[in-house]
Amino acid sequence: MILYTIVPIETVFEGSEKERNFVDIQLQGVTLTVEPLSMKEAVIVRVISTDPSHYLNPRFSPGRRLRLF
Amino acid sequence: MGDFPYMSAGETMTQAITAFGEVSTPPEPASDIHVMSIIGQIEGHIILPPQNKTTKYEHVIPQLVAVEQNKSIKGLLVVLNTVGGDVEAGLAIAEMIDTMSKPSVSLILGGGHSIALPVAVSCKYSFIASTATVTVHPLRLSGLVIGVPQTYEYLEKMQDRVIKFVSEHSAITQDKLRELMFRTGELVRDVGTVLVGVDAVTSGLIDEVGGLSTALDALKQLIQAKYSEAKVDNSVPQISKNKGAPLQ
Repeated sequence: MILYTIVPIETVFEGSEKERNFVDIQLQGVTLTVEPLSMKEAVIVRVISTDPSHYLNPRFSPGRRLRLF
Repeated sequence: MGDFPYMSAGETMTQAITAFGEVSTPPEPASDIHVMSIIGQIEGHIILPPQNKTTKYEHVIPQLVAVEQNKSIKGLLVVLNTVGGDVEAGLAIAEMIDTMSKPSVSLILGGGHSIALPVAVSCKYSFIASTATVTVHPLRLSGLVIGVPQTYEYLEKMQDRVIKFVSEHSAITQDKLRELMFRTGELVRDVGTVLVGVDAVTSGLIDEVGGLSTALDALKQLIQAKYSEAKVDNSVPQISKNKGAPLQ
């Protein structure tokens, strides 16, 4: 990997040692990779689909928080 | 999916919290072209640490099956920006795309290194952005390496699989590809070659230099050729060379 940025390397990799836990879930037939924040909440990390319209759907926007019942 | 104990009751249980500050897009007619982006590391048998961005075998393969089976999907655009990864997973994806009956076009953006090359050439037509690069280099073994001649022979065999697939699916000969792969003096302290945009086309690996619109145009042409009754065979039609052609 080659980086070309004015941001210092320590800042770029800040927090990368932190263990992150990703889980794949299905929402309305679309596979989403989410990061659980608590037992009740998760944040969308990635959309896994070949359908380009899924990426335009605001429901699946990465960064959006989901409540898990 | 099943990993969430409190989610077992299904997807209706998942609900968005935030409902404000959001622009809703008007409903679009479903696209008959689907996109597969192959990014980061191609992940095979071993799950890579979470800070690695990966393309997972178990995500990609079922998607390819779904694209092949779904009647409303007419073609597939494969967007590559990857540093390579698992040889067998890469070859598996390449074989799946190659044996798909639907037209496929690949576009290398940024970088399509190592095992990305078989994936790129497995599509019916391939494009590379003018600033994108392809690194061709010998395979590497990780983990326990036993210092016996068989190790070398095994590596050679794995290498041959990649070389054979790439030469069969592109305009390059096996000898030329081997020469690029084992060339010295190009990479710093390593063996291999970096091909930037047009170099990948002149070497015969990639069909054309292009971008998003040229790749989509080519895919639409392939779709039209496939679905018009005049043409029943599966051969690749000639795509106009004036758009996105390598600037010599």
